[in-house]
Amino acid sequence: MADGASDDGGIEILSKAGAIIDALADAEALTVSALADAVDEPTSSTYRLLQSLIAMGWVDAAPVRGTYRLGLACMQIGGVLEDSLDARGLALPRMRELRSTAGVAALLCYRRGTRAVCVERLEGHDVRSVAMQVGDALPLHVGGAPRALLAFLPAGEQHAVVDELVAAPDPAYPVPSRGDLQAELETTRRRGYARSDQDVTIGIAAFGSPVFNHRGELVAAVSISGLRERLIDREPELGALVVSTAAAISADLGYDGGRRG
Amino acid sequence: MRVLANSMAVVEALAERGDLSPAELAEATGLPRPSVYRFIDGLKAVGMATTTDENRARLSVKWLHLADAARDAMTEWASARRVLDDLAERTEQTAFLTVPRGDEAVCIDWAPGRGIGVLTLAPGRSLPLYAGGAGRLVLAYTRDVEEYLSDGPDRRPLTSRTMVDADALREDVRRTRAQGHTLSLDDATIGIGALAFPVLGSAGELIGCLSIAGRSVDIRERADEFVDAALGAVAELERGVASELTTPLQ
Repeated sequence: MADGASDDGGIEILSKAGAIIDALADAEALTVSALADAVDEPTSSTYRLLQSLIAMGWVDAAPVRGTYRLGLACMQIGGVLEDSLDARGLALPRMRELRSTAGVAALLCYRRGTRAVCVERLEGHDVRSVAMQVGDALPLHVGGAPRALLAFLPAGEQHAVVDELVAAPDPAYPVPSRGDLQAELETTRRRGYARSDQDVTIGIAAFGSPVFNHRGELVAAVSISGLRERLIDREPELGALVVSTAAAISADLGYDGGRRG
Repeated sequence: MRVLANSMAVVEALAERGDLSPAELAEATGLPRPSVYRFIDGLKAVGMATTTDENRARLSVKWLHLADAARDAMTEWASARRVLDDLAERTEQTAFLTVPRGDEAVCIDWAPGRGIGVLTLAPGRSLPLYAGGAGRLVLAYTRDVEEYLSDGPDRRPLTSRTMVDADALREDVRRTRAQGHTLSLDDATIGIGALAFPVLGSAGELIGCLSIAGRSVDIRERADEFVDAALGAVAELERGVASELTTPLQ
């Protein structure tokens, strides 16, 4: 057979190898017998599989004699994949869908210090608000995407940013009292999306929701922005749509719901 | 086991070239097209690949988690992140921890410097043993240089300053062994330099390489200061490894 698929038990070997990889991913290091138990295979065939996986670099011998762990090749493959994942590129098709369903502008923003920078904007159909074109920045306590970024920052960083915003306020965007801001951020976290009602531009509202990577780190926020009536009248539907769009982009980046070390 | 080796060929082709159609995968791996379909299905079944809307095979994000799990499993380097952060903070340069694997030095952790984060290496990226501070240090400390020169991989220059000449590499290995570190200037990335240091185990064997990288001009001018800072960090790493390896598992 050209591919060797039937000379040693066929493609099922791959599923057994996959089970070994999964078992090792959940532990730091395991012995052959622990692995054999985990994948429900005899020790002898588990050992043979391990030898193949070691030759491939997907498994390495761990420093403690007789134990095995995930191999350096996993880091190499994952590293290449991480380099090639581009939040903006992955977000674009999702944002196009969001724009066409919501019928208003869709934005993607990154955090830079105490501000959010717009890196992508798909224009809506009826109005074109001047605030937050690509390259523009807003302080993190206003707007849909910026406030989503602030609300979902890890607690320590969030406190530091709030301290900075309070200490050096932008005259165009007054900072509410610390208590009011904290309450708003808490509400935002619970709701899953930030709600901006004319706090940047009169007549314009926005809903923003956070995007996380595979490590659970906050990388961006996606938002919709448009005439207040169009958003507020359909808030339950549009809010949920922004949340599900952000969740889909996060999943594309490998986020599985947890925050890791 | 041929099935696994072929699955690996599919995964490596996807890592190297990005999303591929079954036809492109067949061409990249040399496997017949019907086999490629079965390997894609097999990899999908274990969560290692997905297919896009255009029916191209793609590595799944599971590899990101496997990469992190592989790093976390290297418990002997549990203290490395803190040591690298301190070193990067103190020197304002980028700090890397690299380990040998085959004919490469693979980066397993890093701390980007202030201003310029050197991207030549990052976790999962590697250097050949004839280029960069980490690559050349690993060559000097783990290999018989004559054997490497005759049986090692082709030496393709990364920059105009890459040492591909056998005599230059022999001399470099001698210098590294004599002074205990490697100075790299522009041979992996133009404008970027590095100082690389061995991290040794209790038997004096090389277990890793600590390097500091930044603009070549800074590396040259502040070499003495960086050597002092790095040697302190190396000592800390060696203590961390020694204590982890003498602690029995579980």
